[in-house]
Amino acid sequence: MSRISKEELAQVIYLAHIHVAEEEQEQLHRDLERLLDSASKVQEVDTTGVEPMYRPIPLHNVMRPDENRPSLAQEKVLQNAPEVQDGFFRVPRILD
Amino acid sequence: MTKTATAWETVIGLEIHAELLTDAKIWCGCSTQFGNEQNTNVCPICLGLPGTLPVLNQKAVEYTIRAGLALGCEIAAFSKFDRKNYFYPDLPKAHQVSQDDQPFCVNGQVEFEIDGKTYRVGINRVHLEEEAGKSVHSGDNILGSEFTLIDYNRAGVPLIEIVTEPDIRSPEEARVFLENLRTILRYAGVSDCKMEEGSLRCDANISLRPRGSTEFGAKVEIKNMNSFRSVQRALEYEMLRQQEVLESGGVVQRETRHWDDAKGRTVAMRTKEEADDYRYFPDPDLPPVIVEREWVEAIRAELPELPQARRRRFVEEYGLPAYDASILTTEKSLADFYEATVAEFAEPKTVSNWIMGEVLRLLNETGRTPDDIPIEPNALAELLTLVKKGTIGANVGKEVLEEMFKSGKRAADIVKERGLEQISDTEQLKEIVAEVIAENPGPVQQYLGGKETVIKFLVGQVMKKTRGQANPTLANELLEAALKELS
Repeated sequence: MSRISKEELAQVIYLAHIHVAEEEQEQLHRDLERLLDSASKVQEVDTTGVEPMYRPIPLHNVMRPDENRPSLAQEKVLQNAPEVQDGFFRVPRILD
Repeated sequence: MTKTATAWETVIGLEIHAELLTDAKIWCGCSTQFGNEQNTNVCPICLGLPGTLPVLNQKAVEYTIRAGLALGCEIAAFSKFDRKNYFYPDLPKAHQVSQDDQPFCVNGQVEFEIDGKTYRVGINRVHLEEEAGKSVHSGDNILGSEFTLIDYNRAGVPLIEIVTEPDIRSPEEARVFLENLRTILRYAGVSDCKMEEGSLRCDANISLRPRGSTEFGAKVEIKNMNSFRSVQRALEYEMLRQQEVLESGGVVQRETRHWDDAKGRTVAMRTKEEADDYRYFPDPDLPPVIVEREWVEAIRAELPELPQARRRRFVEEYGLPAYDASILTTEKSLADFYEATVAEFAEPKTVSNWIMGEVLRLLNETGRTPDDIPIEPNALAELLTLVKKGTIGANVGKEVLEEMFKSGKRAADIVKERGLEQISDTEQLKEIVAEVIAENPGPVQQYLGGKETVIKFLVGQVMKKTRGQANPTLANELLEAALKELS
């Protein structure tokens, strides 16, 4: 039984903003099917009435006071940027 | 058959984003200050660099809850943060930390009036999230630009998103709701709500449906409205556009449209063929927040009297007209100034007239806001006392107030320095009255011939001769007496 369609795979690739060559997609599809197969075991458990657990560590209300701390120098902020202009990160133009 | 304008009901819902007035960002200690040099309020946490761990700013949570309480919301006992995943260069982590299914506040409402009629708009939710950075496009517009420049100073500033129910039925209602919402948030002290600096932003959803229908039509989302006025204009434009589409037998596309303020129209941005797929999931770096009731009550105790309650109290306690009360309470600082002045000069309506007339005019002329009125309430009270005692006339009082705004001097000192005391000396005024009568034989004859309104002209001449310092009531009396003797 197919768990993921070609279209769904294309959507996942699109959302991840990655390029996957046509011939690689076959393999990727098979791998994803196998992963979903394994994961589907978990889905068999009846979770009716079970409160979702958001994180494995029982922590809550970890907060800090509203106090300023030094920021980085501008050149440090920009040091890993592929392109810089006038103190800005420069990226290819954005189109929706 | 063509349907008339009233055949359609307009349904509007708003999404408002307001930046919170914390000193530090939501996850780190970087400054939230507006207008600093680009990329100088930035640290590894803002950039989402590997190995960094965000820690929640407690004040951001308190301000969110405070906003929720001010908007009549229920405050959740348990709340958590979720990642909203999408790629955009102003989002360095490729996700925005927001709240999906467990926001801090739900089910509120805002009540307001237009021309004496009360409206209610439900608040679906208020949640806390992080701001994105700011994109600067080269070239004239987004389409013509070759590249985009990014400033991450704003990334991580705490932001609340307020979502209304689709309860709004007209563009005007939308604008008045927003004005009221802004006033409430400013009273609560959680946001400065400056649309021009982007600390308050509003997107709108609008659809039309045949009147009487309970189903919603296809909705259009409008973005890029930069003032309350443009929200109303954009919605008016869009309402008519959709009406035309529907009446010509067409179908309204579900889409996002961009408001072009200069051209006064909306332009399609993209068609929403499918729902956005943000793949929300709980943020593994941020433990949830349990909101104890004592905490909520402590925050509630910090809330000041809210605008609507204050408006009502101004009418009841000071006997002000509803109009005065609504103007005086639009800004907390103005209402505070009013009450402090009335405490020193117990004529509520007189104080209201002076504040609504002169103080607001002078603020406007000097480009100030009610937050920085350059005089103290007791200084205004002193001035009003001088006017009341007749030391100076009302018109001279206005000049004195202007001087007080400029120099910060006390009213009594200005009056003394400039010799502005009103002439209430009967003997002195009698001489001037006699001069005026002698110099204006024509009008005097008219008066004696029965045209009694001419007295106003003669009083004006007395005022002119005394450079406005004559007590007008006294001048009037003396003129009448002198003219009587002539008849």
